[in-house]
Amino acid sequence: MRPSEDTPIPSSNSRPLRDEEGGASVLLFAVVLFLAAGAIGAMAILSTTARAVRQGSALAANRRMLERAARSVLARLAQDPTPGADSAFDPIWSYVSAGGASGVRFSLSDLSSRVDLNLVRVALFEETKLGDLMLPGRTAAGLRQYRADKGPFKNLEAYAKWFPPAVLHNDFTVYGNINVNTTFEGVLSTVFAARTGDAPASEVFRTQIRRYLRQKQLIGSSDLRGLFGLYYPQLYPLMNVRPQINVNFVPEADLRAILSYPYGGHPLAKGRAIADAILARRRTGEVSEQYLTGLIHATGEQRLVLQYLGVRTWFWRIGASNHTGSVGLVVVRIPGQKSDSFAILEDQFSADRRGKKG
Amino acid sequence: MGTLLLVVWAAASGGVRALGRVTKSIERSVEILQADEAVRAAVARIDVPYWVEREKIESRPGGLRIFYLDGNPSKWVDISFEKGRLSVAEEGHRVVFGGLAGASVRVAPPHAGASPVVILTLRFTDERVATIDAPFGGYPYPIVEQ
Repeated sequence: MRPSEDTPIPSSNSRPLRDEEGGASVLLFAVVLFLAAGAIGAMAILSTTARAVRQGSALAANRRMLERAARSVLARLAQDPTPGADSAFDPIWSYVSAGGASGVRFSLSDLSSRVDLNLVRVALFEETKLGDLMLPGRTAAGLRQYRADKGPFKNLEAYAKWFPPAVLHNDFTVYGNINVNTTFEGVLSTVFAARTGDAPASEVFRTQIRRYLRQKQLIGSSDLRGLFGLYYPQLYPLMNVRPQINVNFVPEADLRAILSYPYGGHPLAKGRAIADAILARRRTGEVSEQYLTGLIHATGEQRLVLQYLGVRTWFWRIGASNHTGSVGLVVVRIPGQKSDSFAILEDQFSADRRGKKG
Repeated sequence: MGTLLLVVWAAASGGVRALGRVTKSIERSVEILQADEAVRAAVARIDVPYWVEREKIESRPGGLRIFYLDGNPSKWVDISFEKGRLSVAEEGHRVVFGGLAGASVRVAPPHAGASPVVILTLRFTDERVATIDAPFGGYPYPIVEQ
C-alpha cells in the first residue's frame, strides 16, 4: 500500500532525539536543569543582597531625614522669643507636639534641671529630705566616697545602687551645668584635670576653691579669669557661675530640698512658701528671672540658693522618630556675651528593622 | 550532536565562571555592608563625657584603640588590620573581616556641630576600595573662642 499523502514520513534529520541518542538528551536536560538551578540560586542571592542593600540605603536615608528633623527642633529652640527663660509656655512645645513631615514624632526633655549626682555637694542629702530618697542602708558619705573613687559618671545608671529606679530618673541627672559655687570641690578639681591635662594645676585650683568656701565668699563671673588662669579658654564656659537648675522644670522634691537647705547655717525664711509660689506660678506661666530673684530675695550667704536655682535649661534631649528608627540628640546651651548658642554633644541613631511602631 | 554538547558545555562553564564572579562580587558587597554595620555600631558607642577636653585615642600596630566605650574611660573599641583581616573588637567581642589587601583607619576631628568621625578605608584583593564613615556617639563640650 502506498503511503497516504497526508501521512508524512519522518526524515532522519527531523526526528526527535531518542533511542541511541537518548543519553545525549538526558545529559542536555541535566545541563539545562543545572543552569536553571544555578540561575535560580543566583537570582535568590542577588535578590537577598539587593534587599539588604536597599534596606541599608533606606536606613541611611531615614537616619539623615530624622537628623534633619531633630536639628529643626534645635533651630526652633535657638529662636526662643523669650531667651531669658525656658518654660513649658515657650512656642517650641507646640512645634514639638505638632510633629514633623512624613509622620515624624518629636520629643523634647530638659535633662539638667534636676540635682546632678556627679556635681552635688552631698551635704544637700544630709541636711534636707533629699536624703530620704536613698535606698535603705545607703548614706550621703558613702555616695561621696563612691563618686570620689570611680566618678564622675557619664550614665545615670552608675547610681542605680543608691536610689530606686523611678526616683533616680525623676529627680536626678548627670547632665548638669558646672557652677563653681555649687559643685563639690573634688569634682571641680577632677573636671579641671580632665579638661586641661594638668593635675598639679587642678590641685592649686582646688585649694583656691577651698579658700572661697572658708571665707564664705561667692565666686563671681569677674573672678573666673583669675581662678582659671591660662586655662580659661578650656574651662569657660564649661565651668561658670550660672544657676544650675531651671525652676520652670525642676521636680518638686529637688526644689523643696534646695529651698530648705541651711545656707550659712540658717534655712531661708519662708522657704516652703517660696517653693509653693514657684510651683503655682509655673502652672500658669513662665517663671522669669526677675520674678524668681524678687521672690527669693536672698542676702549674704543665702545668695548661694540663686546659684542653684535659675530659669534657664542647659542640657536638652531632642528626639525624632518614625516607624523605622529614632534619632536622639543631647544639646547644650553655651552662654555667650551677646547671645547664647547651642552645641550638639550626643547624636545617637537606633533602627527598628521590624518597622514596629512605638 | 558533539558540536551541540560542546556549545552547551562552553555555555555552562562560562555561566559557572560568571556566576562565580557574581557570587564573589556579592560576597564583597555583603562584607562591606557587614563591616559598615559593625564599625558604625561600635563607634556609635564611643560616648566621650562632655567635661573632658577631647577624645582619647591610642595608635596601635595596624590600627587604633578608641576609649570611652559607653562613656567608660577604661573601656575601648579596637579597629585594626593585620594579615589581610580587619578586626573590630570591643569588650571581648570581636568581629573579623577577611579578603582585604589593605586598610587604613583615622579619626577626623569634630567640626561645626558634627562629631569626630572614624574614617576606615578598605582595599580588597580585587582592587575595589570602600570607605566607611562612623561618627562617635558623644563628644566633649566645645572650646569656645572668647
